[in-house]
Amino acid sequence: MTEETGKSFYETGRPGIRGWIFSTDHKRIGLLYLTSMLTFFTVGVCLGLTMRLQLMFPGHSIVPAHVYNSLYTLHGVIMIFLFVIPGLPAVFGNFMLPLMLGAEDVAFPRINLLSWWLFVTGAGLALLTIFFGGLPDTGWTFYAPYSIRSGQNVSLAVFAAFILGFSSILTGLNFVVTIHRLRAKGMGWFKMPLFAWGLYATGWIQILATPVVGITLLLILVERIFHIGLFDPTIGGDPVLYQHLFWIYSHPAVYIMILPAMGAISEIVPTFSRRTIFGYKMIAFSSMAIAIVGYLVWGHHMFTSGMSNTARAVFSLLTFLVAIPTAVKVFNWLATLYKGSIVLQTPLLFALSFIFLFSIGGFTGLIQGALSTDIHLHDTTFIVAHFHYTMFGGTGFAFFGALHYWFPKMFGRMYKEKPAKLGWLLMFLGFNFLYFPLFIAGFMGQPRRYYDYLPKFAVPNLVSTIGSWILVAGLIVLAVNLIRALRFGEKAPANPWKAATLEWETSSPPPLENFVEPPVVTQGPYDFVGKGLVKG
Amino acid sequence: MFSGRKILRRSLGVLAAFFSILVGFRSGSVAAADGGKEAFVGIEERLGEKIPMDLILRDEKGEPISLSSLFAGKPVLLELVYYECPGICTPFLQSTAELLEEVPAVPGKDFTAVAVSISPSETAAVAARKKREIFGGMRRAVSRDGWRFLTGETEPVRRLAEAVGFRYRENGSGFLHTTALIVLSPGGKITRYIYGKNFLAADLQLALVEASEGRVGPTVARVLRYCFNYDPTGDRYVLDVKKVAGAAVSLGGLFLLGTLLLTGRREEKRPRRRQTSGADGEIDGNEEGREK
Repeated sequence: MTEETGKSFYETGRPGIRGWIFSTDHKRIGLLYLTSMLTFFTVGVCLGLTMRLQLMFPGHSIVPAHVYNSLYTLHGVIMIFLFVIPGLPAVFGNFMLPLMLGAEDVAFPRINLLSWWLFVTGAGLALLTIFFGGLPDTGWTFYAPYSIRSGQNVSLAVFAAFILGFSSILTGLNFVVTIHRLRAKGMGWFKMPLFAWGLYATGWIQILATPVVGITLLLILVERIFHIGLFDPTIGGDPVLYQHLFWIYSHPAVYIMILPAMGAISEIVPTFSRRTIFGYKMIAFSSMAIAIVGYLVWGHHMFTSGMSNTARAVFSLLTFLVAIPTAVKVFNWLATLYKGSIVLQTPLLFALSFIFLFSIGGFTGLIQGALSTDIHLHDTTFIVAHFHYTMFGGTGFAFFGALHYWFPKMFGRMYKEKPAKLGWLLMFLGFNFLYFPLFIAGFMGQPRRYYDYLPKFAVPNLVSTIGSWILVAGLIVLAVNLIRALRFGEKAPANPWKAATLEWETSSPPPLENFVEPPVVTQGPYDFVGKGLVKG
Repeated sequence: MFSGRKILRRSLGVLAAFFSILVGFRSGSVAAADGGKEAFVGIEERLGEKIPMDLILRDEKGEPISLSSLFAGKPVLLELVYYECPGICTPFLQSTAELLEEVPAVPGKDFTAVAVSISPSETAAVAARKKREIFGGMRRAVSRDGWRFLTGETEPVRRLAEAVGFRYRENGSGFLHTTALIVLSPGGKITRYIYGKNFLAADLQLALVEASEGRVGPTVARVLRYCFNYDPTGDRYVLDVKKVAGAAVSLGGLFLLGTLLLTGRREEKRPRRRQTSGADGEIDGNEEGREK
């Protein structure tokens, strides 16, 4: 066992597939998540492409209406429950958090493995609906009473989402305990990297909000199976109650999606400007502030569902409040770049486009947070454009930025810079072509979730469909470049980007127990001068 | 290094702190409600206390009747109302009537139901008329001695109401008051309060069995009621899932945070697994799958 020193985690441990799917090593679990999630992401992209193709011209039909209903449901369920929500925490959180804290592993490695298994089980159950009883057609929100009455196999899909919820709770719990208990010697709360702060805030949301949706989904099952009137008004239920319960989880869930992404951006920006982050504490606190205020804004999804005017005004005000900590982060990132020695490499390109796209997503969010405009924009493609700008332009771009940032550490290889930049450019352009026209169409009144539309929306829809092809071309370039790098890429040094956080102090890829000697922290996480990475 | 016992002790400490906060919160809010004695209308529970059995009231014919004669070795179901009440008394008496029809115990044989008017101006004739009205609407005959409609002078009624903690106030020609079924043991001890609008026969049956044995039942209804919301369209109380789920989740979260803050950071690195494997896998037990 002593000869383990000097070997990476790939070379130690059980050989074969069993060494992966039964491994409790956080790095292996992170890679398990990465491969499974990228698989689901590919499926989700294909579904999205089919939808866009259907909507390319008005009236032309590739899929019938009920299939379109299943398409957007599946696209939503897969992208949200299987990609964006587990997203950065499950992959980069698992792989990087213990490294960043100077720990050997997460606090509960077996629970960590269990949560991956739950994730795969939930995903498998969702896929089973293809063969048993038909794909769900309710939209990813499973709104009652339709989800109660739909003849499709909603029960199985709902149960799958329930299982996935547990996976999320366990991951969150694991990270919170890890951050409390396993920081390296000398690493106080304010010497933690900001990605860890993002995960910490996320962890609490996962622990506190996810049980609510678990209960709610269970109630749907109870109602479908035993016909107890909970949400269906014809048997004495309350459909608005369902919406409340659903959004009590699902609005905080969008902060589960975005907070780790913001954390990753807070790592990338200082590294590529060779400067300590501006306003460390404010960024850390703003993560917590978003997590807390994020609990209190769910009602803004229901402005048109029947609520008192007082409730609507309060929810609207609270929604505006979320913009404050978010803006704090954006301004701090920009201030970090100011007078920095900027190195414009792929991860930074993704980070900059994140800031740009997420700002558009955030500002259009305020338009919907305002009562008077939301009444008109509700259920139009404006909303679709808004949440794609935040979830894909935000979390999605951060995900790919993080992937390019940590790729050398995870796989020990360097990818080629030029194709990566080309891929990014195609993705960025394609993204804007794809989603920006939907703002316009939505503003003109095109409703979302329809398989057809009036001829007056033809132009923006055509542009949008062409944009989807550019975007996918970009994704393909990125994927080919990274896969090629796995085999043929140059060997990565321990710290290719000259970053200052702990994970770059061990070899790439790291050894089984992360550090040869347990690290002792004396400097801040972004002290480039103190660590000799930049001349003072 | 942490010993398992230390962690356990600390966790228990947190748990205890938690429940004391919880209990404090509950009693605090009850105390607040009872605070303004003058203004308070409602029920101040006197579980386990005895009512004065020597009080003299009036029966339906206007004859004096002593409270103790109503018991005769059986439990009593007491309700304080007034018969010309324009508000909740009549519905309350009607749901009592339904309850008496459904409950397996037989009124008059196994227990006695007693309605007492809190209005000193109401006469026996008024009580008798109300009794005919209510009995007329019942599908199952209840013996006339099984459910008494009594009236009384100011003084004894006041003392009775005071003894069971029933607080009411005169307001114009009527009264501000609330309703509850009060179950008394054969010896006159208050054993249970049952609140609500519609009653379950099983609740009463259980309370009567307890009362006949002289056992005092805890009132869970009051705590539970916090978790229910009045639904005006359905005219009933419904479970407020949001409150229950919210409370459960936040308490769980606070408990976790408390534990984490108390236990703090792992104080010293345990020996790396590579040298001593599995010597102290108490915080996590991840020996397996690691070195195989």
